[in-house]
Amino acid sequence: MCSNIVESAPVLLGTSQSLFGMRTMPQDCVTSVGVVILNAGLLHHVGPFRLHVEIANQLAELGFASLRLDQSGKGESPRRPGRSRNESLLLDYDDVRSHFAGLGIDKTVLIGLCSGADDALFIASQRDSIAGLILLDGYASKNAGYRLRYYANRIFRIGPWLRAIRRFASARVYAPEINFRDWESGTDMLRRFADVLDGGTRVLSVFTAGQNYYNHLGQLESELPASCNTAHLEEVYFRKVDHTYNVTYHRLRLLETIAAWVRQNFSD
Amino acid sequence: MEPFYFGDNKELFGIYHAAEGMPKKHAVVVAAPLLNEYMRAHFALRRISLTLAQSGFDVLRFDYTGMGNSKGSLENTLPDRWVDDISDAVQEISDISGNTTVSIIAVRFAAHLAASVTHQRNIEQLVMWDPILEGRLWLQSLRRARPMGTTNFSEYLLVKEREFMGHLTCPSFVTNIGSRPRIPIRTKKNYAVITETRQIQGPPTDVAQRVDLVSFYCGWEDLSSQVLYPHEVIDSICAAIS
Repeated sequence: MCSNIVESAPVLLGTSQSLFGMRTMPQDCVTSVGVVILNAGLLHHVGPFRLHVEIANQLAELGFASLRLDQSGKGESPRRPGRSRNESLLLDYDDVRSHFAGLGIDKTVLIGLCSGADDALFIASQRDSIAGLILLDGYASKNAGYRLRYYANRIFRIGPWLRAIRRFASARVYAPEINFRDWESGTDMLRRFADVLDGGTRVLSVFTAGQNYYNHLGQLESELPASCNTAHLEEVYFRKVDHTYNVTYHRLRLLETIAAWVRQNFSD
Repeated sequence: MEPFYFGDNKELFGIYHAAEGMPKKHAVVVAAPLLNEYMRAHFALRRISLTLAQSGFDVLRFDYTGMGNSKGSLENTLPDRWVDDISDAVQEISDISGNTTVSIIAVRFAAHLAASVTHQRNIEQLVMWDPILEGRLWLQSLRRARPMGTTNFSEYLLVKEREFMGHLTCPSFVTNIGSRPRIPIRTKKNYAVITETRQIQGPPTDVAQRVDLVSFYCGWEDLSSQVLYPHEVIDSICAAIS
């Protein structure tokens, strides 16, 4: 166990020294695992309600170095001109990897919330050095169990019926529900997930009540191909927690969950 | 862009944008809003800073004690500290740039904090975005802040009386903030861009010498993570500084 002395410093990565990150290091521990915390949507490296700072500080107390990254085009980092989004993702990760290599860190764990989780999964599917993923409201597909619970939760309540009647009676045309996540087909996403797990990456996937596609523990694993090795997949469901952990108590629960998982999977 | 820690104990995190081309008469400190509002305004304040630097102003953005990348926790930070943070930032930009004349851009309750600083230091101009100039008005706003949609997890607040906008504040936060009266702004010029008038008592023209009313919904009291990018506000602030 390390002391509570933690050092945070801004770093500028890449050949152009323009990719911004905040590095947090334990002062008196040596670690071979570096954790990269990706942007949550358009929010910068501090994270929603300072979540990323709290995660980084806790990881440092456990002996792990971390980098709260502003990916190209987000936060303090400029865009990479002429590069697609996926190209930028991988180039950003490669710059972080080089930085960690200079510190003697050879294993990486990625953490992402929402679109950050999607980015983390994509990077892990394209790079071999990812030892672990912590996905906060990452991908899951709606299955029969989801739909059963979704409608069962509403069929015996008057509110949803009244809303449905109002919609039917109204002359307004309601736009279809917008999916703000840039997901490929369900088959492709599940295949990507399976490939990452089969490649040995350990995954902690935490879901909250703040999304509209997951509503029971085990939903993600149940949709993965039967041949997929799910021994290193841990699924957690916080039924009464907001998507961005906007309550201090809920952030503390998340920190405990992350700490336990990291200790279990990556302590020397 | 130069990120660094400053202050007596190197506890405040700041980002310095050096002026491009001929420096203008004064430097600028950006005093961000607090709690959840900080996160939402970051994108816009960065854009303002980049634009001003390109126009020849030296600009310093910073994080308050207990927030962002600065050291400390909110639970252990008295609001009085934030007045000192702005004052320290003014000193720092003066030292870095050689400009002893400094303007401040202040958002929401930071306007009240910055008004205090105008009594401590020679501030050229105070430019405010949706200013809240009195402590009790900010407390009212914080108490109105609610999650968007139907999700409300208030039953899980650790200390209901002092957890606001997802942040647990110090034990004397409510008393401290609630006792802060409106402070006269002691600058040669002051200007306000206002998108919401709920926190203003009396006509908007009482807030500043010049006021620009902009039609844009910031939704400061929505407990959301939605990043704000109000072009009209950004343009108005940059024009006021220039």
